[in-house]
Amino acid sequence: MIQMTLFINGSDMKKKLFGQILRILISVMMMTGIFYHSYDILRAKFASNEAYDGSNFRSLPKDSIDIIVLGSSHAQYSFVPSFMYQDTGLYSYVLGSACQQMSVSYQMLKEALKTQSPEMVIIEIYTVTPAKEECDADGCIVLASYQMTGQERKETLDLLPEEKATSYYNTFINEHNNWKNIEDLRIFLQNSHADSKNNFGYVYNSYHQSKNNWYPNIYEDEEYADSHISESDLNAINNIYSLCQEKDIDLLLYMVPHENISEEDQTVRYELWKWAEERGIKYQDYVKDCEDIYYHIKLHGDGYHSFLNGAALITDNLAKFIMDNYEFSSHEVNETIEKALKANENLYMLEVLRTEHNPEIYLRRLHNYDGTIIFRYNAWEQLLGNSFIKKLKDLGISTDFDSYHDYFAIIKDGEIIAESEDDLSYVDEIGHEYDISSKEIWVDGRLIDGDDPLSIVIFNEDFSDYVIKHTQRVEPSWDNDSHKYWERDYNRFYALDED
Amino acid sequence: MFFGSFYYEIPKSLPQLDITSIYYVVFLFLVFCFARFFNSYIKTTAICLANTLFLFSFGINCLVVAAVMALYTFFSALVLTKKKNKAFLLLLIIPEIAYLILAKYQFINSIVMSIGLSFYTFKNISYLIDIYRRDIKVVTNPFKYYAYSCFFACLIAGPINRAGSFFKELDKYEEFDYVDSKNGGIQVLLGIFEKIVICDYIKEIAEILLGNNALYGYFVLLGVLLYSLAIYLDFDSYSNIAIGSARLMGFHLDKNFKSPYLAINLKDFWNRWHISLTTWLRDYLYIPLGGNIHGSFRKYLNIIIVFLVSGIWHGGTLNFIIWGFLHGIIRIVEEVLEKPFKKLEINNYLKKLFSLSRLIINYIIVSFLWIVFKYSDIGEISNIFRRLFIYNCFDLKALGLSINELAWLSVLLIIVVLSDILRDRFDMLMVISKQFILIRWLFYFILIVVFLIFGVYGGSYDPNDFIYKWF
Repeated sequence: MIQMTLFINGSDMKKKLFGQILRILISVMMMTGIFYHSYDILRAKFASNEAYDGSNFRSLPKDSIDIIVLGSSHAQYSFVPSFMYQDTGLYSYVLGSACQQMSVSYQMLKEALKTQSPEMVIIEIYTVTPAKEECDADGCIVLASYQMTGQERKETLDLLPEEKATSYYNTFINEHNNWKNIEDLRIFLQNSHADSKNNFGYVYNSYHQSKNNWYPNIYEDEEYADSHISESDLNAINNIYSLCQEKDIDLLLYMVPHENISEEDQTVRYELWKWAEERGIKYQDYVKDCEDIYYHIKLHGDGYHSFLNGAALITDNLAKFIMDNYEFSSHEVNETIEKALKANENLYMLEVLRTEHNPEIYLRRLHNYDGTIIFRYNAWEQLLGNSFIKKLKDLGISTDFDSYHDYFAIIKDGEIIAESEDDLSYVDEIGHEYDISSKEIWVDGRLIDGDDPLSIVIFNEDFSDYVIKHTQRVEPSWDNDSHKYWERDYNRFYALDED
Repeated sequence: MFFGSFYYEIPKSLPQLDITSIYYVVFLFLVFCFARFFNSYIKTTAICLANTLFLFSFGINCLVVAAVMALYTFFSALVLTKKKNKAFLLLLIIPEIAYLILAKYQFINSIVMSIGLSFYTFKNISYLIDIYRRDIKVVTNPFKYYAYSCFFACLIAGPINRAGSFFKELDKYEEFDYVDSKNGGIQVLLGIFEKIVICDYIKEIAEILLGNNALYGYFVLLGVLLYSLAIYLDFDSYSNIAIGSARLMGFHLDKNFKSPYLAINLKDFWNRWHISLTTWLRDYLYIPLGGNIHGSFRKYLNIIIVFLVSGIWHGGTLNFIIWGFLHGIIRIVEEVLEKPFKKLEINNYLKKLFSLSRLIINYIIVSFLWIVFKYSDIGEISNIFRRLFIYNCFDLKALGLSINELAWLSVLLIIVVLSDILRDRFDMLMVISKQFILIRWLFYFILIVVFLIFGVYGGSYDPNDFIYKWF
């Protein structure tokens, strides 16, 4: 007979033993508690940027976001929520990740709907096309999962083989190795989440290549028999559509131009547009429209990802499309979000102006600029085009731009605070000193510019940085590839609007 | 994988009970509850079940081979009690040795190499010899013998514990000792820490230094010395986990390592390194061969035989035999060379200096012999030695390691040296357990944080990949 006898005799022994068992249990619990608590704190300290993105999103005020953008890195690099806000007053957030599959976007949307109730979901569709095969699928799923929590995270990782899913469930498994490259040990003292910057999911890409008149491939045959949307992508996008219908959310699709678009890619893209049309879903095909919006791959993107000025182009166009086609009834002003969006807007604005050379685009953007602008027109022989002059006048410039009168002006927050046809000396209310003549522009004792015919100097908020735009009439050269006239000197812009 | 097991789903199949996995920690705690608080009968049953589960987690083959070997030894011992005959003893031992050699050297492909085979075969042999010598009483309960032979705590990489003391503790009916169990638990956790934080990092760097053919001279030398540390820490950490696990269940196994790199010669080294194997070879091979009582030649021959057997026991390739042979030869050379110095009278200061230089020389010799141990391909060994003698500039940038990584390596080396010196002089577990509770818990907290940040886990790296695992 089995005797389950404990090693105890008498009540004192019994008490002692149970006391010891209690000590063991308390010790094990304490050890486990310390372990998990330390793990939790360190996980936050070592978290990847993607994890911060997810955490930043969840920390937004509940039901404050109007537009959720889902998609791959093409979405992360092409959609700037600050510019969307500048253009429309709407709040948006990009929930994207590298090579984000549609099935991952579906999980991402479910994750988003836990805290937000957007009126619109915009989906960037790069990964539906066969071009996505260049992506490292496993790693991308892991990165996307970092942004999610609970069931959504689990279901995303379930797209991986079981072993990998298990090992990646806890981000800290891989991220703890970040200690190898930590330069500032203060990371251990900081509240990492509070310090992380919220870009609303946009990934800043300032790298700017020299101009090359290059548009993506567009094939004449609109259908290629051997290529279709994959079943899993179709299921996922149907799921997204159903979820949006259920929650009364408008769905909009878009595609960012990129290099090496094949016939198969185009066929699948068109198949998706057809799918959208059948359901009354609108879409923006910027591959097809890239010439219309002046999006040249090498100028506005690195081949696959938009530079900031390319992102501004896409966002501006999406904003216009949205304002023309949709209504947002539940938008509520939130000061915290506006402050954050505005801070980003000021940060990006100067960079957009620096890298954008198309006056059609950048004068429009300048129109919304809240900083300080110096405008100088040196009377010259070659006249500017009418359309160009109209855009300058939109800034508040009142001169006729003739060849007899110079014109100098200082514009602040959209208002002209000083203007003159003679040399202009001015001290603004903050104390900045301006000396503007046809030969030189001086600000706070610094020589800013020489004697260009037309100069626009744009300062940032604290005058620590500025951008100068020049213009002079230069005959455009003929581009054999595109069979178009093209201005190659990008330190100067050419007034495109010829009569 | 250690952290992989934090995944909230219960695994669908039985996970491998790797000794550094969270599964093992939970498994150990459960066995502890049954083995420590109940009588001998329950204790035996719990350990038998634990052994079975543990072996089964590595595959049914491992379980079958280990169980059959245990059963064979059990019945052989019963027969030996009735017939004390040396030839008969040898006859009974031969199948065990034959299976070990066949499995290790894979002479026949269908022979199953079970995990821990070398270790439990030696335990089985020592048991039969002890019975033959009438040093211990025969066990009449096959489950008790199975509990000993396949004792899960030291199944994979030793120590090779002896039957006598194990059965005594298995039968012992004693009051629960909280401090003893607690120290066992702490030793297990420290062993895991030693493996995942210290050993695996040093091993990683050593592998970079040895494996990168673009690195020469000092880098290779550093790689050799680091690998030597890594192999020690790897084995020592396993032994700590094993000894701690056994202690949790009330079994007190002897230390398997006593700061071996503080040894001043090879004889001293083998008295400190894998002590359970060294004493096994001494008791069951060296002494039966005649030990040192038949003159110098026989003694040296016996030393060579013992080291050759040690080499063969370690692995199934030629490099292990060479490694064992070289150890034997150098051990003899040392003994011959040291004889004249023994009579020298020098002052204490010089004595210490002399000991220190011997310690360093011994460490270098042992380290280079580990290279022979590490590589089964002679070409790889000669490649290491070729690269060792090419000296160009020593630019740490060539390693591709960050400043943080180099700094952490330095910290680890200091920790290893200091802790070995301290462990050589004190029972560190007792030192820790005597500290004020807040200091103790602060120590645990620091270890946990260091473990989480600096532990080598994640990615494709497997912390359960013990060097001695498949010996």
